[in-house]
Amino acid sequence: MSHPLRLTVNDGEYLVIAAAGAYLLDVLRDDLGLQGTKEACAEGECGSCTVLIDGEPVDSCIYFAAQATGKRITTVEGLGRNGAHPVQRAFAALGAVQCGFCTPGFVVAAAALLQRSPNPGVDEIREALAGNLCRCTGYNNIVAAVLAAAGSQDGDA
Amino acid sequence: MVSAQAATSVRSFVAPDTVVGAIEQRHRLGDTAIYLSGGTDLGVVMRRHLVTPEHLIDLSRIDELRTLERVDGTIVIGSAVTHRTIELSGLFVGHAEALREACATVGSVQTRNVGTLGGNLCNASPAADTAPVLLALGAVVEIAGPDGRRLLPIDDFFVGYRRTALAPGEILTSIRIPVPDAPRGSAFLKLGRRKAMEISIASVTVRLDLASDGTIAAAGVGLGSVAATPVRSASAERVLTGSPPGPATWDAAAHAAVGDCSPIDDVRATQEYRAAMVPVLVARAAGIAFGRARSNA
Amino acid sequence: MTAPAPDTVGRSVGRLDGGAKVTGRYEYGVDASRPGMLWARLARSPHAHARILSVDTTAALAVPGVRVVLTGADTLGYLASRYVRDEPLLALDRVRYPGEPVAAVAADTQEAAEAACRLVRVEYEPLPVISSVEEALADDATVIHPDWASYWVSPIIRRPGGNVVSHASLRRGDTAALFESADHVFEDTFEVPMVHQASLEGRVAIAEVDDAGVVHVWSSHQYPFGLRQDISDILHIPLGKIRVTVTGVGGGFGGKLYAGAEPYCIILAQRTGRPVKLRYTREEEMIATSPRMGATVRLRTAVAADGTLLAREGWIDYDSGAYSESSPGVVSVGLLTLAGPYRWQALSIDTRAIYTNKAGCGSYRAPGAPQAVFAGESQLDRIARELGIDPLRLRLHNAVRDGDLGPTGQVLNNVSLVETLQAAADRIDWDSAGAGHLRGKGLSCTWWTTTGMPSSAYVRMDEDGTFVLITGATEIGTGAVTAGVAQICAGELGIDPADLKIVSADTGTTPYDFGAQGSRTLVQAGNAAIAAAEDLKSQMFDIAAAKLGCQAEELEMSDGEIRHTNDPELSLSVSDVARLGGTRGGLLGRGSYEQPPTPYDADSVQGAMIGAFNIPSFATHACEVSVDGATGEVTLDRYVVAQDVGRVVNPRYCEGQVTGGAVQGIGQAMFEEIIHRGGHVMNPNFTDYKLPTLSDVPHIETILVEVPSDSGPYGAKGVGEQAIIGPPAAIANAVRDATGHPIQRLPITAERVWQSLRGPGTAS
Repeated sequence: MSHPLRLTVNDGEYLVIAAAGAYLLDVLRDDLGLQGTKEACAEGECGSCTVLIDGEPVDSCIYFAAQATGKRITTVEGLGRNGAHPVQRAFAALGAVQCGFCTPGFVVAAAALLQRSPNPGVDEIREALAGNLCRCTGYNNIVAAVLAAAGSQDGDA
Repeated sequence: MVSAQAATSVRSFVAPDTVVGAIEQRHRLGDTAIYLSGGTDLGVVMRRHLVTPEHLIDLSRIDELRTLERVDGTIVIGSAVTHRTIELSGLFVGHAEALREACATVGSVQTRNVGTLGGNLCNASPAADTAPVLLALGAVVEIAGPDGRRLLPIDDFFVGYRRTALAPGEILTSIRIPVPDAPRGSAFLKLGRRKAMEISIASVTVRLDLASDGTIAAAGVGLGSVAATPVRSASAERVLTGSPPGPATWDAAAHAAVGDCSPIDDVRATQEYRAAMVPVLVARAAGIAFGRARSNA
Repeated sequence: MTAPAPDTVGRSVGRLDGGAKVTGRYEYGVDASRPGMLWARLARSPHAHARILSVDTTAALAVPGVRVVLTGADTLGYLASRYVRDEPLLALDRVRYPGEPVAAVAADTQEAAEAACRLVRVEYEPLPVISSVEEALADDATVIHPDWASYWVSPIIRRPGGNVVSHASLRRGDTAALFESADHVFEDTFEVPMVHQASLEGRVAIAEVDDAGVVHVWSSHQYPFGLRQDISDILHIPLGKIRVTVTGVGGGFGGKLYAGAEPYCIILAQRTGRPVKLRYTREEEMIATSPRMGATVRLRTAVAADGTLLAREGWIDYDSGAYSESSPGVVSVGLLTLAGPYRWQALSIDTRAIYTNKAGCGSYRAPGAPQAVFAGESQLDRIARELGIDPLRLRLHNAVRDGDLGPTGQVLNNVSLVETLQAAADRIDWDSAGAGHLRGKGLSCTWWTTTGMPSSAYVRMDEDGTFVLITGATEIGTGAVTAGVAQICAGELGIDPADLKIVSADTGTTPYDFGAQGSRTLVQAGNAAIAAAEDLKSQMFDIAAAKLGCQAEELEMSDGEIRHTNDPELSLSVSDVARLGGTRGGLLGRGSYEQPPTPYDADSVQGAMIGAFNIPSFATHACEVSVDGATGEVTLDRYVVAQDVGRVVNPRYCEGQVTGGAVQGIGQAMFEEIIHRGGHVMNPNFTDYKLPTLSDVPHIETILVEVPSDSGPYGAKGVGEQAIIGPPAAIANAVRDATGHPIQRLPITAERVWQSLRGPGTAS
């Protein structure tokens, strides 16, 4: 059963025809072509599908598209659209990216963290990003990149 | 392209803006309809095809269910208030620290931004983090149904493995935590395999209310993941109530609590380990709760 | 190849794919699509072991949108597994693990394909289930492959029959005499469960077949040339009619080295005439794809009173699951890693892979090693404790040094074990006063190979002077290609790495490479890129010399100019050379590299596909833990890795390999375990298969030791795999130091530590 759905994504208005039970992740990827958001576990355990709903990180794999109507959705493609977001620049520059599959989820979650807490400490970063799994980096450089993006000096490196 | 992996059973999605409207929708759509609060539990089981509703009724847009306030001697939490909202709220300091602690350990920030207190309770998992907290705090839940509203002590809410006292069509509308005049402290402890993103192997909440003579005037002890439902340990509460605070009392309560649980083996832990961890966690939580009660005095 | 390094080497330059990855524009296998594409899905067995009595696809075919349903009868003779062709593409007469494919569907949508799979009716007659190695080896055990004799088998494989896949052995020196005369003999048994690569992107591929029968596959894969060969072998398609293009790869770790989803896509594309995509769900990944083998490790070690290691006898039984996949190669690695990097007078080691009714096991970063090293390094700490010798001193006393022989008689050069031991011990303050009650420190030492085999590269100069590196090597995330090899190639060409373009990992356009496996890419593909750059430069110098009226040998190139070494005024820009190239297509340099095999005593081993470690490297892990005595919870307070990398090409990505490997190893040590009941996976999801999160691991302290190799670029050695090996033993040793109780099974969960505290222990 498909239904029209009005979504606000990265400040643009979209009308999509989606199944009533469609998850936001699949609508973003398949209907809107926003493939930066990734699926890895499909049950809210890894954060690869993180998007922002009204500025707060949410796992889009277990979030129905219909739940997002009337809310602001931000995906990795919508971060810092006048040049890369500071978090994106720091991830690329500081080795926080290896295979990169988790990266969109991380940069979106980290951008939300810095919005709420512009100068987080290491413990705060670890806690805020514990819902994002990375299988490649061992996390050192991810923490370093978030600290750098925040302009924080109290690294653990 | 047709969206890839939609929940194909679902034929309609409605988002009423009043409780009455939701109940009417549920009546109209029948038993293949299911209420959706945040969906962080429902989304998982639907992804696994374990639940296949035809209609989803989204409760998260009903203002009444999203209120969080203190009304005289009671904290009233709308059932659609998210874990994250509770985690960041100052309302629980001095009254219900354990609930704030439990909400802060539910899944990830992503989960807590969407998952709700009411959803966690109605999912009725024996491992639900917030359920034993509310048992220990002596919460009362408000339920709305086709025939009106009723209040129910949370002790009567969990009736079996993943079963609640909600009749078909009923909605859990709010959770009410009484706040006493006496100094109170509470603590939530959870054991998992990892330090984050965990479903508990065992969880314990202890709530202590202090009398003016320094003894324990009243106590609540809630246990998670150690029985088919979240359980309250009446035995441990009896030991605590009227006793002088201190390690001997905590140990006695801890050992009493073991008799109130009936854990099982699963992929997360054995029955034996769960049973052994209950007294450890009860004694520790009691110590922390007491420290908080004193500083709340 | 120990020429002076260009100035691009040793710097943390950014990777060429970084920008696309942080903005979400990088295209992975899951993102790829083709016009008119169908979706495939596999119907899988619910039984661990059963005879198939009948298969009925009528209902599945009736689902709207379903284009074709294939079964075992359609895929006769299509057998996979590289060393023993024992794995049918679709089960025909029997299934051997829960999740084994019995039918393949192609449909217009994923939903239709999934619905059809649920409607494939299979009648099964259950057979006895072999759920453990012990059951598989029982005298009256059901034989999982009764038709073994009909399979093609690699000639190296030795086996006695029954449920044994392969058996490798190592015999050097007179172990019996040494055990007879030794002051002490220690015997222990260790258990290691299966763990999964758990790359965040699972297996995914698309296949398209044109009118001439030419197959084009797009796959998230580590080894396109190996995949092309696999497809040719399995489906009997000539190599020349297959093209493999690697998409972006969302993690590999050894899990994407063999044919997986691709053959199904191809047979469905052949039948339908449409491109077909198959993407495994997380559950399919966890129940039906090539994890790391579990193992039971028994070892006896003869030791002199002063702590000198004399002789070791060891037996590893690896659980291969229902199919051989890479287990015949992995068992030989067990020989080398159970011996460890120590001086032995005699060794007698037997390693076997055993069939059970679980998913067939494959390669996972340092295959075979963590199981062996957990056992060997844990036992070393027991020996140290019982002889009253400090574990660090015991290791230093026995560590291999330059000129020593390895376990199979290879001569060891550029050995760095002692350097890594001292560096790690210093960093963790090994000799500082006891860490205190329920706090402990642990060490473990590892050695590992840099796999050889061919790599090749072209470097093209386009008509505007742009350089393009064309390499068969695959970037799977490590940065070996888009940072390391790019830095090497750009340095040799005298340009900024950011200006180099790369074309890679496509059998249709790039030259052969042995793939992203065995920690080899930076070293082998790096050497090939150097050779190609040199070839191109000599062509450019010939053109410039003719124009400038000098000898080619008198020229050098930097900053976009070719200059006379003695007369800088005599110069020509690279873009001028490009124009003078005269072809307008530019110039093409070619290079290839294949390291000669490392010599060893071939008579000392039997049944081993790998007899020696090529360019071996060494590492020491050191950690500090605290244990909650009441709950058994372990907190990893500090974690240090000192690893010899030969020569650092890119410090940031080099460290990234070490920290990433260490955290995967910490996962295996403390959290990860595929839990089976009767062959069924009980935790086929990330809710219950626990990967380490940011909250579970400390900052990994990394020390890069540089003891250059003779043949890696500027002395580089392989880096990628080694760091995963050390953590289980280092952490187990630290927990034992904290509690006085040994840990002999992974993972080291709170419950297991709690149980150990109630068992027999030794004084802490």
